[in-house]
Amino acid sequence: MGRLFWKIFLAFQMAFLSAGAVVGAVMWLHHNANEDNRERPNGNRGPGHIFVEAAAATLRSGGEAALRGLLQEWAAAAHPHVYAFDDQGRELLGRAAPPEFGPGFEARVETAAGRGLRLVSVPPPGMGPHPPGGRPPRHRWPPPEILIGTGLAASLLFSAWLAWYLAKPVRNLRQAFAAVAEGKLDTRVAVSMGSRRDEIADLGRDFDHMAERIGGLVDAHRRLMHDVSHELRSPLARLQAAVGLIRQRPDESDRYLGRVEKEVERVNELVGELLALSRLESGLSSAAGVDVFDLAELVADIVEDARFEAGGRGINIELDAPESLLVCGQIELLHRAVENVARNAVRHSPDGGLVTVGLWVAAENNFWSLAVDDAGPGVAEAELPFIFEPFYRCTGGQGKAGAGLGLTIARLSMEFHGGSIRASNRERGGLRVELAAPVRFSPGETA
Amino acid sequence: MKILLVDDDVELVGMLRIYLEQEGFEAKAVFDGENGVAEILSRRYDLAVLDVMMPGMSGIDVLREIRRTSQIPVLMLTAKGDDVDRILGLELGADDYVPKPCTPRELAARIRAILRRSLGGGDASGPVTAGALTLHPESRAALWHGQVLDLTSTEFSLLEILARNAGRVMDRNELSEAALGRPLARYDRSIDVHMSSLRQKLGTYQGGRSFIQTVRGRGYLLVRV
Repeated sequence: MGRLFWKIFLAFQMAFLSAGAVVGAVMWLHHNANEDNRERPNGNRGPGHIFVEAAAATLRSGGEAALRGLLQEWAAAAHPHVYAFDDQGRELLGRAAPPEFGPGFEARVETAAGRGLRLVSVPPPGMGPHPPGGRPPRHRWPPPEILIGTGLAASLLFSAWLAWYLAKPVRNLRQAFAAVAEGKLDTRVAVSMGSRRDEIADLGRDFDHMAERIGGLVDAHRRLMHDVSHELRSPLARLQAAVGLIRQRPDESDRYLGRVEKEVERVNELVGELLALSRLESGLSSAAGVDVFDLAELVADIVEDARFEAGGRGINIELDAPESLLVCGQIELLHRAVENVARNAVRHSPDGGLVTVGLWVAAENNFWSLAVDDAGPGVAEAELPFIFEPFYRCTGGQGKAGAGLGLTIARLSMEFHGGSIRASNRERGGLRVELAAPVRFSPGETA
Repeated sequence: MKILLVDDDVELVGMLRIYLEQEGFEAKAVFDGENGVAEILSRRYDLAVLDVMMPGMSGIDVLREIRRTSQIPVLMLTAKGDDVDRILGLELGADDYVPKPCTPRELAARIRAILRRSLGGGDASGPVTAGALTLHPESRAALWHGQVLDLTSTEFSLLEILARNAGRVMDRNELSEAALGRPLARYDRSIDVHMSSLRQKLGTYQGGRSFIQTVRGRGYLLVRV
């Protein structure tokens, strides 16, 4: 039981006790007022009083014998009976004390012989609880200690239950937080909330949502780390193989040194892309460096570079773009996106193939679109959604892949610009990758 | 000695093939799991080197597939630190593994160690018997209560060492040196995984006790029955 439990418990207990004390005090005052009322002479005291006084007068005038006679006579009557007890508690007629004296009256009288007698009036049996003209009889309350004890126990139980009801989910939540802090991201609390429907249950649901989200992000990063280490290992394995060959046949070392250079360049490229990716991911919310620039010019530059690289393999690149297209965005990111898509298209095109790049603005929503079509083998439909994931390798295109992050970077870059990237297989073969983003991008609109 | 290399990294396999050929092996390379299975099951090879990480059919899948019918020695290329793949591979009957990236020299040494054992190495000693177990080192056949045991090359070597020393505790490192041809690396569970598959193949004698017993902190021994 934590502190919260005890705080709630004690607070409720205090409230119960003070409420009990106030109610008790009011009752007591009320009761006393009634008692006063009852003892006031000429008050509404009922017939008992008359009989006791008559008995006392009889005793005074006729002595014990007269009283005994009178009481005997009265014992059968339908009016309140009178009992006379001496100091030893013996009744004058030897009757047992009635179980309850009820709302009767008492008077103490001295006999002539100096004996003290206590005269008590009692409603006759069968007369019902309400003697005519008298107050209703008091209920048979159990003794006050039991009443107070029961009340106290009930309030204790209730406070404890309430405190437990409020404190337990908080404790569960706390344990869940501690578990998440220890790295157990699959911790969920909704089950322990049961069918509860209140703010605490909402808190639990929010917690679960948070844990799930964090878990997803951590998983994605773990997968990325795993993939990165694998991707770094591949060029390293090739490096080691090349070095092994150089050692084995030093005369051919030139050939394999070229290989070594190539692999080193690959590692370098991968590290560069990793850095770009991490910058993109960490800077997605920042709007630094958003400019208005000519996208048509940027695309033309990239196509020019790609033509230079593709020329060696006889690949032709056609560009269909407006003279100038001013858009708003981050030049560096858009450059990477377009370049990666274009290079990807060249890489997967067969020697002598044709790559077409088209750029236009859709009038209906004022989005610019860039489509890059290649003449390569395309991608299996089932794999299309995955090609923008880090290091995804299509089952068909072995050995042709770049570092494996290019399309991921393109996707993140387009998402930064409030746009999208998608890939589809062309009817006439080859892959089409289409980028689209609003012409008037403002960072606040990033979804 | 014909080696089959199965790895999707075309350039790497190309270089490894050249290296191995220079070392006196006959090597062929295929670049995906399906072709790997087909080539291995053609039974033209003395040993297969399997890369675990391949798109489509992985090295583990290939191993599972070929072990249904073939006991060809298999050396796995696993990513360093990927213990799950390594243990899984050994459990499925790989003979040994080499962490990737590795030097080609190390790869060649491992291949040689396995081949030396599986090709018999000219050890002309007669059959070894221990209880109901009879081993024929020259044909690498194991008989258990007269039944032929289906063992991988490494499993046979381990059983042979245990049988020759039946009733004596064999140190895990001794076993590794003798059966895998290399000292045991730290935290290396290879021997334990092989022992576990051997146990399964031998079954238990009365009371559910295994014929191969673990002596904690020391090694293994084959019970003399």
